[in-house]
Amino acid sequence: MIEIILIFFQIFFIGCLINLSIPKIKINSTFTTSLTESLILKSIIFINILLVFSLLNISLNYLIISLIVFSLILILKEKEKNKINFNLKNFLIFIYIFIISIALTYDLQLGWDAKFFWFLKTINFYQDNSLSNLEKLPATDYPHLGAYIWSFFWRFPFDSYEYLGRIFYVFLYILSIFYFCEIFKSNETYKLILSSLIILTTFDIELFNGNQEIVVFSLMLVASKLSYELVTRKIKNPTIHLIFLLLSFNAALWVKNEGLFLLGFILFIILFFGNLNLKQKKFILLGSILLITARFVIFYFLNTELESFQFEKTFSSSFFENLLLNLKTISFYSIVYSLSLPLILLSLLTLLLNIYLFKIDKIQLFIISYLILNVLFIFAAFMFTMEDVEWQVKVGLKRVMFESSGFYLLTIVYLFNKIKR
Amino acid sequence: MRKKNNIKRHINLNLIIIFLLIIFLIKSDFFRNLYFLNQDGYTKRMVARYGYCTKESYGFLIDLKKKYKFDVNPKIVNYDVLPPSNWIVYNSSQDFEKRPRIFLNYQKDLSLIFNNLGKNFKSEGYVQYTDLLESITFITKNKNFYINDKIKIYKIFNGKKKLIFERYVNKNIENQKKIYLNFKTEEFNSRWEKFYFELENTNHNNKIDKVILNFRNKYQFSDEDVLFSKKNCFYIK
Repeated sequence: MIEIILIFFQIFFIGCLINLSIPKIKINSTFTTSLTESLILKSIIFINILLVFSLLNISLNYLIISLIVFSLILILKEKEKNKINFNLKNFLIFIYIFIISIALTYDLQLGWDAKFFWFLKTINFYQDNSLSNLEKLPATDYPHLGAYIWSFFWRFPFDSYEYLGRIFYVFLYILSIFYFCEIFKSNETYKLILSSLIILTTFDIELFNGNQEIVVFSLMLVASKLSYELVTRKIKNPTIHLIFLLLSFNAALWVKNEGLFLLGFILFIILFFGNLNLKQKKFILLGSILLITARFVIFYFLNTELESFQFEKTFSSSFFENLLLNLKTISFYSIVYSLSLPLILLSLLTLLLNIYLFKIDKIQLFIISYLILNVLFIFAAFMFTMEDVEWQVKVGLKRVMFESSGFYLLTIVYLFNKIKR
Repeated sequence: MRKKNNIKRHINLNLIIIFLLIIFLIKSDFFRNLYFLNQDGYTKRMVARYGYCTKESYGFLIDLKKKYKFDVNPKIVNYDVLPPSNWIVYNSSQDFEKRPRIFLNYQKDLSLIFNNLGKNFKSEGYVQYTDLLESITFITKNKNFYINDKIKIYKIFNGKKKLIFERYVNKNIENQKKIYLNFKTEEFNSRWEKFYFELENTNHNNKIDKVILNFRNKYQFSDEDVLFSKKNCFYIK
């Protein structure tokens, strides 16, 4: 019973801390309207704040004190009371987070990679050790932000079970889905049904086993929604959209290496398809270059070795000899995993239907461009792996495909919004 | 009338949401999870998930941690194909010990069984922590036969055969009789790769049911070395 109560309060703690410690966000000169939108955007800022604290090697205790002090200042400063509407949507969000948290608490399963290095990185931060101390652990070329967040919510507020830290992943996952569904042009109830359907199709308790794919998936959903709005609408002042796209990108960069490509491609194609002026395009371009450079410079100083990809080994004569075989293997498993990931299967079928039903327009080209870049990335990433390609594809491809699968939901959004029009 | 229809439609849509929520409750085993969460404590659930002296041996390592104070992170060797169990006892302020002292799911005698595929034999299971191929045993189908032939063992890496053992054998093969090879190698240590055993003259294949390779364990210790043990889990000096 104690564990159930802890879960209950942990969810409230996460929600309250994020909601209260970050100032209200204005989008298009008005404050964010829904709690979902406000919470998910604040979560993106929160993740970036945690990143800064982790890079500065500031103790978790100072971090929580800073956040609490900041929350108190904001509560006193904001005259408007922080009221939470207990409507059906907020109730559903809480219920879904609670159900999944109960499942993960009972299951307690950690994934292979989680046991091998993610959890060790988490323990490092939980025990208040520095970023440079990660050097003695395996997978030094893997970023640390997901583990840092895990350790933070493991420590606060209860400092008891490690799984309490993983509840943040559940929080982010559910919120990102509800936030994404706000782009459907329909009434609230339909959006809730669609959100519930996405949760039903994507949920698997393995997603919360400490591996970081679920965080990238959630960030991907946020970035997809923001980018879709930039492509479909002429937003008067898109700066906030661009800032949140860059912040999501930055978070993904520090959660998993492939975040660089999976979210980077969105930023890249938005330059061609987004309703942006030259100044805004420059902002995106320079912003992303700056974030990528910062990421690599910091990793360079942390003495990380690119363990997972060994180009000198890859580019031996056998690479070219096996080229065809490897292409065949990756293609085969891509098809197999597309069939086993309902979100990808459904989205790709919808894409074909969209191409058949409607004229290919800017939005469709935006989605197709991402698909092409994503496929090219998958082939390149698995061709240059240091391990046996078939084995690597068997254990890793499905997870990489899942990370980007949220983007393809845009095909369903496109179809839905076209029909509604 | 229109307003009434709207309300009716709204109720129907809300019913769909409730229906989806119920499906999700069932899909996630919510009530079973809630019941067992109430029944079983954290440690009991962890032992059920990661074993006492099976799988990652959570129970054994937790008992060990309680009993002995580690000055360095112990190097743990698990004979099951699983990720390292360090996460159970890891202390980020300490370095890692170089010599392994904790052995989980320890197997004194290591062996690899090859099943007959017709033209060759394919390995079943895996072997870890060996440095010597000691001997080979043939499980024959009915009678003894004579081999004057080359035997080859290879693995397939990136679709290519990689020969790891080759020897000329000129012997009478008896059922379950060991043929000593004493070949120093660490090539058989594997977590996922399959091995293939081949006789140059495939005519003999139909006389053999299985082939067993017997290995020497790289880590050997006596009873006096053991500080704490439970079943196949050992903590040594």
